[in-house]
Amino acid sequence: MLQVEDLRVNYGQINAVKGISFEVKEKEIVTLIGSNGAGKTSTLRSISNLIGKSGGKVVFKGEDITRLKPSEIVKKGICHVPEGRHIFPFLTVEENLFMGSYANKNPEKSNYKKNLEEVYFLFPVLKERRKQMGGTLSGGEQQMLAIGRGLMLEPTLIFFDEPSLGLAPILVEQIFKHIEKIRDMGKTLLLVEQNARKALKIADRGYVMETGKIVFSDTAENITQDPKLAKAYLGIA
Amino acid sequence: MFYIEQLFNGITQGSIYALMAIGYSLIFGTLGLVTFVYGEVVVFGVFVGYYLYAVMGLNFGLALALGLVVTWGVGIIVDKVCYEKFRNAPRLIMLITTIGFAIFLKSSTQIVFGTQQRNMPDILGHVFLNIGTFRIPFIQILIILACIFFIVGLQLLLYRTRIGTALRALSMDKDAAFLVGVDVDKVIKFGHSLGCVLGVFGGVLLGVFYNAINPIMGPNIGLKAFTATVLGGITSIPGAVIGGLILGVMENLTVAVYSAGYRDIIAFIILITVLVIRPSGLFGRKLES
Repeated sequence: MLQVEDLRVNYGQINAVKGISFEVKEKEIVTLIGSNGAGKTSTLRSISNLIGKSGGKVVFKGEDITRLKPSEIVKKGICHVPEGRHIFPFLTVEENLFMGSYANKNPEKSNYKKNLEEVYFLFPVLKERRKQMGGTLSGGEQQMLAIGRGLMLEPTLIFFDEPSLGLAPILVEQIFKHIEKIRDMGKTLLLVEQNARKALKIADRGYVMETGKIVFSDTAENITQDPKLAKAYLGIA
Repeated sequence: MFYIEQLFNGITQGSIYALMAIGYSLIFGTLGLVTFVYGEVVVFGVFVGYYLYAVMGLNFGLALALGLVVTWGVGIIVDKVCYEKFRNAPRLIMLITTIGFAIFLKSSTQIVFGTQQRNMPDILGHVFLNIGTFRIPFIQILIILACIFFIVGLQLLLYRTRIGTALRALSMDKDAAFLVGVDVDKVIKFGHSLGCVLGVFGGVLLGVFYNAINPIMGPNIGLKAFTATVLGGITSIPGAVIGGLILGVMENLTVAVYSAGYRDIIAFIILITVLVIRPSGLFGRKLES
């Protein structure tokens, strides 16, 4: 469904991503794991074209989306739930969700209502707080809102960037349960995580990144049992 | 009696400032940056309208409408020249481009429309509304109504429409706006031009109120709009309205109590006081994301 070939990202002189290739197949959960600064977030952000690529090619459903504008990429049905949640703090929960549907291809009101109900069913707490400002929610609720906002697009492919970042362990547990539920809804997921064990538990396949390169890739099960993971994850060179 | 009339003058002028301030606030919100070209855009737009009305003899409404259309275009040009290429560049660059464009636009206005002050023709004549012993110029009531109309209209646009919600979302988090599929560039242009149009409409009303327009009144207008916006808490629209009203009333009462020479000083005093005592303004947001 998504093929990334030789992707490169530079910040000035610094090469954050040094030519990586990977692939996400339909209905899979694929995870990109690795320590801080490995280039995982840069990879996602450059696929979404929030930051420029210095090289490489991205193909989605057979279509080259390397140079599309971010808004056009979203319209193809790729939703990116960013690191740090990035909800709109001074919009209400419901307005945040409305913004999630901004690029939805089926803009009819009935469709919007149906999606809204689905999100509220998945995250009942959002329904309770639908008139509250997004910025007043707790961290876990904001993460749910960010995910819910993404679902309003009716995406086929979802990027999750560090959904567990800064959350209490019990909330991390919940968020991962929700991510599994979203997979069961038939979505394809690309999950970026520092919490490698958690990510591998729900993923089908994984890619391990280290200083801008993919150093290892296998099924999630095999990676879990490989000692190399500890090396990459803990950053012992 | 004199003071009450002055108060009413202040409210009239304040509502014009309010209109300009919300335009400024809208631009600040969409670009996340103060602009130095606002006053000049306003003056240019006002002169276009003036030229169409007084020189080419179009009727007032049509001239105004065309003036606003031209302003919309100028807004897009300003965004293209001053901002578009520098959205991810250091802030300072955009400040400098707006200063440069302001100089360019001011000179252009003077070259195209001349350097003299112009008299704004009376559009209503001297019609007064008499309430008891009060005589309120009818034009002032119209000005206030027009301002209210635009302010309410803007509120509806921002809170009830798709593009309005996108504008608000964009002002909070540009990255997130990208990620939900907002065509950020287009929406910025929309917000910027809308802000310019509100400013020019305010400028026209100011011209009508004073019966005069001047090609070098840009910096003064920019300063007043900026002061009112800062007073209200720079991204708050109700704040900008209150800020504009306070500024207008203070100015006119100062003129009434001391002399007309103090008119512009009060804006500086307010600006400095706010920045020292309460930099976030009266209605500034304290919650930071």
